[in-house]
Amino acid sequence: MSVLSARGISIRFGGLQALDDVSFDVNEQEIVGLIGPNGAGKTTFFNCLTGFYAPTAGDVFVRGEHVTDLRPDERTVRGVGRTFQHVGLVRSFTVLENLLVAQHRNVGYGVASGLLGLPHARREERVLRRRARTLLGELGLLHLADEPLDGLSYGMLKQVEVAAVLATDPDVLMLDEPLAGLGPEEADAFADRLLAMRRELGLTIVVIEHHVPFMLRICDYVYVLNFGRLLAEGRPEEIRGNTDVAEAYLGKGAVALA
Amino acid sequence: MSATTVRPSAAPRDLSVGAPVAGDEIAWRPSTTGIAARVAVLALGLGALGVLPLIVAPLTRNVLATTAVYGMVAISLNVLVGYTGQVSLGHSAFLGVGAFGAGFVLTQLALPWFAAVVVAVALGIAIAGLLGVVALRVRGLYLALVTLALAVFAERVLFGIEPLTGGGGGQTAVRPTWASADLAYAYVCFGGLALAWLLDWRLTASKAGRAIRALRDSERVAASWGIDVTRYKLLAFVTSGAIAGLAGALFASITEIVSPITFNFMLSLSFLMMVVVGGIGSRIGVVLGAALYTALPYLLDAADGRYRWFPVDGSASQVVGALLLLLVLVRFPGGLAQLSAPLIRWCSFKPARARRTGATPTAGGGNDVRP
Repeated sequence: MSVLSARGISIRFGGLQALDDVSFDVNEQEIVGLIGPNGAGKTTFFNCLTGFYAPTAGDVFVRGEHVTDLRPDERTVRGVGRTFQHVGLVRSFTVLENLLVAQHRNVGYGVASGLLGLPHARREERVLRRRARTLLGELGLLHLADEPLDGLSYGMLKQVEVAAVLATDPDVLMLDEPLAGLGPEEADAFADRLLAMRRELGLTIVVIEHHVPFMLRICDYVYVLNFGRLLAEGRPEEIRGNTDVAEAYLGKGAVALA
Repeated sequence: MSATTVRPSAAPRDLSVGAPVAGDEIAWRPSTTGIAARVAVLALGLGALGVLPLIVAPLTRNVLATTAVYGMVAISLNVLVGYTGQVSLGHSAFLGVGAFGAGFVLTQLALPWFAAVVVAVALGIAIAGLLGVVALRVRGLYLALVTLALAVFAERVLFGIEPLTGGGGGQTAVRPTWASADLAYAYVCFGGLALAWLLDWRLTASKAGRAIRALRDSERVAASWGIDVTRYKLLAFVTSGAIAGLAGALFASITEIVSPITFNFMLSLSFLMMVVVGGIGSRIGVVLGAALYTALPYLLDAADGRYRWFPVDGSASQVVGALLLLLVLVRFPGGLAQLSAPLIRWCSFKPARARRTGATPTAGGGNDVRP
């Protein structure tokens, strides 16, 4: 059964048909890529999947459950975690505090016991801090734990954002341009890390990225969007040789990507 | 590379708190003399605060009580301005609803004082909850205008309903029999401030406060982390309203008469000035701001009475208060809290500067830096 699927998603913004009848399936522990030229509707599609936009038509399912009418936070609780194209972090918090808030849905104590400062709530606060530090350690970001965000580079922020989404304990990790601001070697290391996360956490990953070699390396399946329509889908080697895709990206006459 | 990743929901590998594991926090502690010095300073400060009502002139005891109540309102307003990032100009209405509610229960229903307090808190929660529902749709400057309208409406209409509030003549609100003296009542108000302080501290130290402060920065990001935006925004308003309602009940019995004219728009404005000058988002800061703005009129009037230095009678505090606000906005955006940050850090047992992890702490906890 697919972990995340969409059926016939369409959305209009005034006169612009941003998405037109897009369907999509992600299976357990797959890494699925979403590519397409600028303005193709990739981020809009992400927003429809995660509940930030309400599609004009179409349905979204998480493990077979109909979630089209649910709010973003309700979808997060069902295991859908995402990053944003322009860094989704709480700017006034330190790195560690960001990871503490991100664990929100897994905090066992209630609001009232937190306000009363009951012992079990305080104990759990310590556990939350430890988990946050462990996660930062695993991603090689522990040295940043007590740093405020405004001193970090864009690439670092994107990495911290991934750590924060992981802290929400997702089943499906949706990454919107995670390589922005990273150098080629860091991008390579990040690809290794994604593959390791899939292997060790059993994560399912959906990723938007322009970096074609990266996508061809890590993806099991690729969807190509162009002007809001699904242009092609298939295994990376099929997409690489697809003339339509090459033309959409590189212009008329091109025969292959990369 | 060997990336081993752990699901955050998985049981942490080492649960024995205290045994350091890789990536564990190294708790910073001041040296023994450092601890003793801090404890002594805190005890001295709290002790001074405790005996203050005893040593001031008897007529000033009510000023201290008012200061404590305004401190509560500042904490209440800070929950909205500092944590939620929404400006409220309606806190005079919050305070007034609590005060009139308490007065009504005490005088018209002749119920005991604790019942009046409960009703005042409930009314504070109700009016703040109502405003919270509005705040789900309207924010920023527009919300500030809505709260302004609420303040004016409450002053001119709500507090003028004669059967409920006694109209222009006001409503009497007698003190509880066990605290009818000014001195005892000042301590009751101090207790109220301590309660508000405690609630605010617990709020910021638990998941609710974190969620609320995350909302201020970005509702989208908060929602993507599974935070129910509606629920926590309402929680912030309700918490603010509960503290303001309690403050209202205490405020009612300071002069034992509540009249509508007290809860004018200028009062709301001075609450906001307390928060801004004290330091937005800082608990100790806003309470200091409240103390400053409550004491200012008395101090300046006394000085004016003696030296006749200010040309217009009775307006010195407004001019000085506004100048202070300008000074803070231009030079010290963090307010009094920013100015006293080293002292506050020292007193709260924190290292002098934000410590960078990776720096090896000196052995024996000798890195005790005094402000």
